[in-house]
Amino acid sequence: MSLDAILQTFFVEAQEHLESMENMLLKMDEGECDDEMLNDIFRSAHTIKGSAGIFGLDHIVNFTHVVENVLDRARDKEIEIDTDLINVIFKCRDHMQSLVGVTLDEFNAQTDLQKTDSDLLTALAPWASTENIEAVEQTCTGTESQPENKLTDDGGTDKLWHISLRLSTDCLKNGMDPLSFIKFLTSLGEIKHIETIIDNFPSLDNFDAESLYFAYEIALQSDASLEEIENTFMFVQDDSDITILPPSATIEDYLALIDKLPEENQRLGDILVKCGSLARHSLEQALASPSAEKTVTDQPDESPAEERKDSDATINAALTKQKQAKTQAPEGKQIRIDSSRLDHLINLIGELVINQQRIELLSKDSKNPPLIEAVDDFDNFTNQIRDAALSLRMVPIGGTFQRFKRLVRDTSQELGKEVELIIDGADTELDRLMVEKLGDPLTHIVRNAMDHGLESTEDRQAAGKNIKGQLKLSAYHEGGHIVIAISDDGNGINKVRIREKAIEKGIINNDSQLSDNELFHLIFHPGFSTAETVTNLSGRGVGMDVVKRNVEALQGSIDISSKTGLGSEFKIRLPLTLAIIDGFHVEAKGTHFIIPQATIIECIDLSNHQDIKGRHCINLRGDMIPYLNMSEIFNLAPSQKMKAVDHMTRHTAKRELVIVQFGSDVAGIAVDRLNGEIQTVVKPLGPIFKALKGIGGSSLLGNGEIAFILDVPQLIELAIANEIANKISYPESINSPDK
Amino acid sequence: MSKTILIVDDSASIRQVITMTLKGAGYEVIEAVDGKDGLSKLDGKKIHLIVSDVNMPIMGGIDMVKAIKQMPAYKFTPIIMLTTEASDDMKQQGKAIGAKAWMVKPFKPEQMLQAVTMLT
Repeated sequence: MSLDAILQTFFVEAQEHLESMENMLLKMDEGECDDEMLNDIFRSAHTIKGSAGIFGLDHIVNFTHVVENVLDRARDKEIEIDTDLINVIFKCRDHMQSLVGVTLDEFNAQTDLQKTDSDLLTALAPWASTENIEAVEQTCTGTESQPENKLTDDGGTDKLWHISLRLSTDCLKNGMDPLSFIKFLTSLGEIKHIETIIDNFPSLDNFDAESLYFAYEIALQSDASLEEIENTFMFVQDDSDITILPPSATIEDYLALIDKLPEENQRLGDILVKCGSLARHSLEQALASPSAEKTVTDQPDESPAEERKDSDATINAALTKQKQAKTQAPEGKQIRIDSSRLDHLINLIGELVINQQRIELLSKDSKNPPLIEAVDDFDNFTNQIRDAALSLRMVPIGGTFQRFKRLVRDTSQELGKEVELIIDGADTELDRLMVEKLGDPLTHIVRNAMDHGLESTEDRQAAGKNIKGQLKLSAYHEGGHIVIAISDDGNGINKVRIREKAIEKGIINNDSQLSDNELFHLIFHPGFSTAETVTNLSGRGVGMDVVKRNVEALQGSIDISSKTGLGSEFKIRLPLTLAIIDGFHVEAKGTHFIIPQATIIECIDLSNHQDIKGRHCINLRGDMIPYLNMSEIFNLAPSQKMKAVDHMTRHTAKRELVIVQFGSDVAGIAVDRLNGEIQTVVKPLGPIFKALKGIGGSSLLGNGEIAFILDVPQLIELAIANEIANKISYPESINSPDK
Repeated sequence: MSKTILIVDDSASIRQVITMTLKGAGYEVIEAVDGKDGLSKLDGKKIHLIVSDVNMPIMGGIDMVKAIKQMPAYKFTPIIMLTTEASDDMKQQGKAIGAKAWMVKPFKPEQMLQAVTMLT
């Protein structure tokens, strides 16, 4: 595994931690706050910082450190959590998200990010303890040293260090082997001499095999820095007596060392001389001076008795904690899969379904009963595999809804409205691809509902409503579709205002008769906005039309209902999955088309109906229905095979009309033949066909032929546009790739 | 025979970096995602060193070390605790239960290797 791959893990992980931070902060914002939550937030920041440090992402480390410090203080109850602090931490979290998205170099190049950085640090300052802010600067600059680099400089040196090791008797019990430290010293330089002092060795009766009785005096010839040598003993330095004398140490330093150590002075002096650390004559001179008096210091001796005393309690506590953890977190055995692998699997299963259909056709032709039976079973399992595979890609919509808590919180603060968000049906699952693409449209609708739908606090009070506005996000299944509804208890859509605005903008005529539904749908018209003052929240009239387009791109539809004074509801209706659809297989001039089943209302025989005034329009039970002729739209020429068939059946040829509906619009699609329902795997069209209107994808039929999946919303739009323009001939643009 | 190190950390990226570094230096590495997982991964194996994070969900490093220190087979296994400078009291707490080696996060992979080399 390469460092780059691990970096990806870091990004995913950081994202998860940021999300969890956000959820916790939201809960805290609602007044829920316990130690566990604080600890979780702290841990998230802590982990992000820790991992970022490993990758040298110092911009993340430096910032997150301060956040972590504040959270740590909150956790220790040194500071109180109030709304101000939560607000700042929310912003910090967002900033961390931006930081995770950029490399260190990018960060250094982006002044706006740096400004946010310093602004937020200033904002955090009242809560942060100052010493820790300084500490991070030290850790970030001081951790770079690598002993290996220095060692290569040169081998020969006369820099003689003296190291006096008085390790704790518990050293071995802690899993620290003194030999390993000494071995490690050899990687820093050459050990010129080592003297093992065994004075503390007890009589056999008192001997404890698990204790360490040795002390060491070491002369090390090394170019390493004091810090590097000290680092060798970083794990034992706290409970051991370690003195490191640099090559520059004076005789006074040595005398101080001799004084400090428990052994007899003369003997120690001899040892030091033996090590080569000290010259004999300077020692003798020094020891002769009256200042050198022996002081006996007791070897620090930690008694393990106390530890043992409460060992039972400890183990019990650990066990209960373990049990608690078991009940708290039922182990959701989950594995992470790259989504592209999943897509590949689903694609392959699509192929399998096609092949299965082909085999089914062949088996029916063979009229071989055992074979047909076997193929039936095969069919059954293929369908199960398909469903199972598709379910892998289904994710609960809860995660998406959860994100709106934050949006609602921020927006309500900005607008000065009190809003309560209610989430319903978070377990409802839908295709991951759809979830990804739903974020933007939902955001827009939610913002609009808060900005335009919900009244100001004063207005609500005046209307006798609860001051807190209600916004509800819900998801549920309805007849093979998933419905996502966004409703508010605001003032409802102002029909009069929409009408005025639409007339003003020239979208409708002064005397247009529109149903409520048609009126509401005007807000999806490009360039429509009723907000008297444009706020930066609900944009400038761009948006709702994009919302509609996004939803339609997902084969979905959007409906609005609204009651004056009571509120409005936006209903987004989506298919269960995008990968496989129930379609209706039709043919025109030998070319196969598939019309998504959900859009079809009925099929009629076109030859029984008269075109109105020679236009492509019929009267169906009193309604005027415009229709499109597939063979004209796509300039289809009959294939050779079809010509022969045509010739034979010329007199009996019927023309069929499939009536489709999308939203509130109805239109007809004229074809030559209806082949019946079919389950079909959607294959997206290649990029060169992007400009092609009216076709949403392709699919392979059981017999190996290609069928085009019609994009009904686009076709309906076209049929209506043609009808409105009152053109009898169809524009060329429809099947030419100029956009 | 190469030496075996148990890494306990809830952060996958930290685990992966340590694993990569140590494997590169010829160590065998076992990974665990939290203290509880760490205890179950010991499983009677010969472990030469344990590297553990302190703050983890389900079971933290301190609780894990407490439990390990009660197991005769692992009583003397050196343990490096990973911590941040922000949690000094945590360090005190850890010391009391017998975790002696501490490394401050963030650390560089080379520092980790150095520490591991020192203790094994």
